[in-house]
Amino acid sequence: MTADDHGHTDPLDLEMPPGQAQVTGDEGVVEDAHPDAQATSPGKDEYEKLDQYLLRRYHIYGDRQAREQLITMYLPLVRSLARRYASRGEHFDDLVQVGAIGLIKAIDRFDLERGVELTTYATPNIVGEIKRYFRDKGWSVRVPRGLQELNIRLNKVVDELVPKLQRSPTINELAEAANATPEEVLEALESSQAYNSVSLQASPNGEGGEEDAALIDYLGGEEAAYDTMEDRTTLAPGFAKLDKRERYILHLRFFEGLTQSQIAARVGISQMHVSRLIRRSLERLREEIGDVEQLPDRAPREPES
Amino acid sequence: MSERVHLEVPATVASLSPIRMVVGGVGARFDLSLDDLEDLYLAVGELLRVAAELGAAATYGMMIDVASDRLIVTVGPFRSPALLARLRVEPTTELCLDLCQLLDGVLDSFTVRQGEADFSVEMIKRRQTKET
Repeated sequence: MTADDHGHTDPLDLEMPPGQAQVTGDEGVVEDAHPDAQATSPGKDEYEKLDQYLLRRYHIYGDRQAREQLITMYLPLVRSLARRYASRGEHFDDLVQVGAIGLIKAIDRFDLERGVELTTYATPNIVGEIKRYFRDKGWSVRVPRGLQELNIRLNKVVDELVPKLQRSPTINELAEAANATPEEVLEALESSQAYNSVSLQASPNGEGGEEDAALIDYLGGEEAAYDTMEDRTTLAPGFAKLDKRERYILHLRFFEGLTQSQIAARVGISQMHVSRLIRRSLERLREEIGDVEQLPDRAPREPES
Repeated sequence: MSERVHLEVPATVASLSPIRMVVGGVGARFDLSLDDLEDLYLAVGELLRVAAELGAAATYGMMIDVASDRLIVTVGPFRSPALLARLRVEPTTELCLDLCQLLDGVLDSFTVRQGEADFSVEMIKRRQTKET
């Protein structure tokens, strides 16, 4: 039985593991203390014991100091994960702050009985918080979280239903599959107009995880088709300003007559992403060919009464 | 015709959102597929954006007629010769994505209805049977 600074006895016999003194109050040592840092002194096992000790201190006794110590210990993990997302236009420090919220949530929600390591539990929480930050930042106007989440759910539902039904689903079918009303589905589709198109490096599900394949990875097999198509569309005004993938998608939709679902299957992205890309491409084309004068001379159609 | 919905909104890009919601609501009840609905959004959206850019009307009027196998969306009246010119371009073999090509690509058909001093555009989108 051991006693803490406040005189509490420890019914679980939480003996303080070695190395604790090195972890507190010294930023340099804290960096080394992270399990991923492959510290050699003290060993990884000892840090895991320290995790467990501190987690028990916090969850059983409500020891806030133990919580603070855990946060400090795991900040290097947050930094490491935030670094993966640092090239996406957000400040690294902001990402660390956001990731730290995920860490704190993980520490607060950690279940001592589940027998997992804090690193295992905290990593998806930290990454999830960073992804959520990117997702929220992707909306150009304020869209309620519920609609954003329904929109993301619809992405998956559409991709599941198209092969199952062998056709594009109706709104009612989407609503049923997404456990929403048709009005909510329409509202979510409308709200997606406010979503900024993701970059080529973002993942197809729109969450931007580095561990996910980037959109560009899905497109390699289509390069030859792009090139052929590119030769044929050089006369199209404004097309040159679009990237290959945008030109290819517009070509498939408006010159080959493929539906959005068919394009999604061909290119390997979601139907809703195809929809966003078409809209974005048309916006860019509109900017480029705003003047009627730039359009090639073409014969007028016969007027109808 | 079994049903008609009529809507009039200011001729601004901001009005496109309520227009899309109405088109979506009628289209959903009509059991249009998501692909077809997206096509209709694109057609109405692009036409009205071009109309707004050209100052073709002060307000948009949109009428949706629900027939047994199709939705007929009529937009107008417009008074812009520039818009009329853009809508009366014959299809060619040239790969040029103009307004006509776009509307041809996403609709079953579209027709410019000429009035005495103005014109409107009638767009038809048929419902695909679930077997197709």
